[in-house]
Amino acid sequence: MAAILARARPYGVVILLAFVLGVVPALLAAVNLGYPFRLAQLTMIFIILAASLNLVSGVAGLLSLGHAAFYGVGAYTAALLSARFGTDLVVNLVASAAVAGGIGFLVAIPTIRLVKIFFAVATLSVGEIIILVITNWYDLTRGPMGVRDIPGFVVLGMDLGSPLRSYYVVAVVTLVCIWIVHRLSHTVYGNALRALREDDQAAGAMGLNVGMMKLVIFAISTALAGVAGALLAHSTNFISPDMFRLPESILILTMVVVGGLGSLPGAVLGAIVLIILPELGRDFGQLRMVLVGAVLFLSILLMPKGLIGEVTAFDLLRGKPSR
Amino acid sequence: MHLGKKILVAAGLVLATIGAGNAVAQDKTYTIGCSLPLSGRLVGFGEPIKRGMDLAIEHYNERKTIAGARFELACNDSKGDAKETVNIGQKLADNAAVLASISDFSSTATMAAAETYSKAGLVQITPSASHPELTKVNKWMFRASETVPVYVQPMADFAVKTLGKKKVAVIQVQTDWGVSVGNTFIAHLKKIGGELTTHEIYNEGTTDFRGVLNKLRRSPPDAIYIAMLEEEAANFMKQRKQLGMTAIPVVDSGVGLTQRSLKLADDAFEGMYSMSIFNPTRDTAEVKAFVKEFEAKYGKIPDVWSAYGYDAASLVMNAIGKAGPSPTRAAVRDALAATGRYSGANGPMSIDPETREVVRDEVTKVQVKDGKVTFLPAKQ
Repeated sequence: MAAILARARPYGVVILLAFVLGVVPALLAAVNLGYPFRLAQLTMIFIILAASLNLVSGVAGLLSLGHAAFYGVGAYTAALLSARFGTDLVVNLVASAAVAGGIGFLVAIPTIRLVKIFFAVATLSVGEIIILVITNWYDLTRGPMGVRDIPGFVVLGMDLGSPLRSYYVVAVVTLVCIWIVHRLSHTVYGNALRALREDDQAAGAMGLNVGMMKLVIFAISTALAGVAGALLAHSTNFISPDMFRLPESILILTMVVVGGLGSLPGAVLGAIVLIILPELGRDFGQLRMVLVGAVLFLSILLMPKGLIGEVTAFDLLRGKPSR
Repeated sequence: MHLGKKILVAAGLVLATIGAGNAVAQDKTYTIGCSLPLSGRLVGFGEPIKRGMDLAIEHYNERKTIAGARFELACNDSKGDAKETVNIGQKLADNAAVLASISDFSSTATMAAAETYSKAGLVQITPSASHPELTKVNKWMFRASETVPVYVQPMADFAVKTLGKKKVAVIQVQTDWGVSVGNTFIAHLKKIGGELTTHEIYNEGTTDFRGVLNKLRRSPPDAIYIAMLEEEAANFMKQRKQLGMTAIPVVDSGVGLTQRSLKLADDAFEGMYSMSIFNPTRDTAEVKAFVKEFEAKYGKIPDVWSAYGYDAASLVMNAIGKAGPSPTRAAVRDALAATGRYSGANGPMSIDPETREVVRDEVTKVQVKDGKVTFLPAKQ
């Protein structure tokens, strides 16, 4: 198995692209039902969320419990821009990333000095504050009424609202986000982040600007969450503050932990498992969430490093032989 | 996994045999989709709604209310999570046998799925969601619950005219429901010559209302109108009692007073006025039959949620019946819009064919007396 993987590795990108842009849409189009298309879209949105949270909580080791709030900021940015000014998806994606990332950056300035559990609690409260602001700033966000009639995917004047076209829009954005996360976490920069995680004082002594690195990675991570939010707003056409509360943050964090903290393929797999598994469980009726819970419990019990642990992910992506 | 599959196949076979045995020769079976919070935080609402729906389906199937038609429910658990409601909507839309869907409990989940249902051309009827713009979203959206003014304006009339309390303070939760209740009440209050003394808005989950109460003490109103959820109402009333402000009567929107909050509040609800959409003592044949059948099946008195579920399912089944011997989704939609008057578990109501809004003939005022909810006679 390891040998096959090692040999396939140089073609990994081609295989991945062929799979995401060829095999999956071909299968979806062959089945031609709304449900699989919808699940594919939702899964990809959560892949972006899990991968971006993994940058902060996995690679840099800063446990964040407020990720969903930035996802919400992105969703609201895209929704309000397109509902009020009819802006293009490209503009909305950039704006969502900028606003969510900007707020992430500002929030990080005071909180990033905190360590461990204190940082987690700070992000928890920041997340709540953001959602409360969205809920109570009635004139801008319509508060608890939510934003409705958000247009679908429109890129450069072209309506890409059909299931297959929407799939491609989300898939391309997701691939770009994954590429960004990949470049950030599997280069020297990623190693520097891991050094912070293991011992930030030692990392500081090695000459790394610890505070600034944490600040930047938090901003990038929240910007990517903003992108996911924009995709959600345009694919659901209605958003309200209820969609971005703590349970959503916990769900994203669970994806990262189940997949493997610090592992990008793990985050992707975690998102797939946690979106698809509850849907597969629908036939089990009342026992559905018990089943999901049991799977999560067993996976943490038997694979505490995650479905694809960080070290395995390295071997996979860097081509070192498996130990 | 293999074992699981085998069990499923076996169960499927057994069900198929039972189904084949029972099916009456020409009866057609129509599927009604459903997504409700059957697990999670909102299960306390989803379960009773489903019980009401199950009862309605059973009632129609056993009595053959719609000749030649049998109905079955395809229920899915949404956990009250908007994204799952959309998934379910898409799943039901893909299933050509589904003629209408009862979805979902909360406004957020219901409205999130609206686009999916509208694209599929499938009726979406919510048993309970309260968003004021709900039916404006698209022409496939229906509701079995009334709009906010239906039960808010009579309470303003009640406070000002019946109780003779002109200066009213309004305390409201910051949700889509709270906003529309608060605004509707205040607008109507001013229209009928009342005066708003204080307007307080709090965030969902607030437990300490002493600040608000002290503020009210400085400019005391004649009455307080509360648009609160059950736990908040219980806390508010307890603290009102602790601060010795029981002389100011409280009028509840109808949502704060539930069997659970009545217990939570201990005796602090004593004397509070409220409103009830569901009235088990209402003197119509439909309500009597509903209460009797519900008690026979579940061994307890139904609540408003079960009545909403019962009505939602009945409205859909009536529409399928009217849509003809081979109903299409579009025909069911038009038949549902043309429902007009309907008398069900929540009493007589009518559906506006254009706006699809529900209007009720009357709402029942109630008062808490000796720890029990007393239904005040009509025409109060």
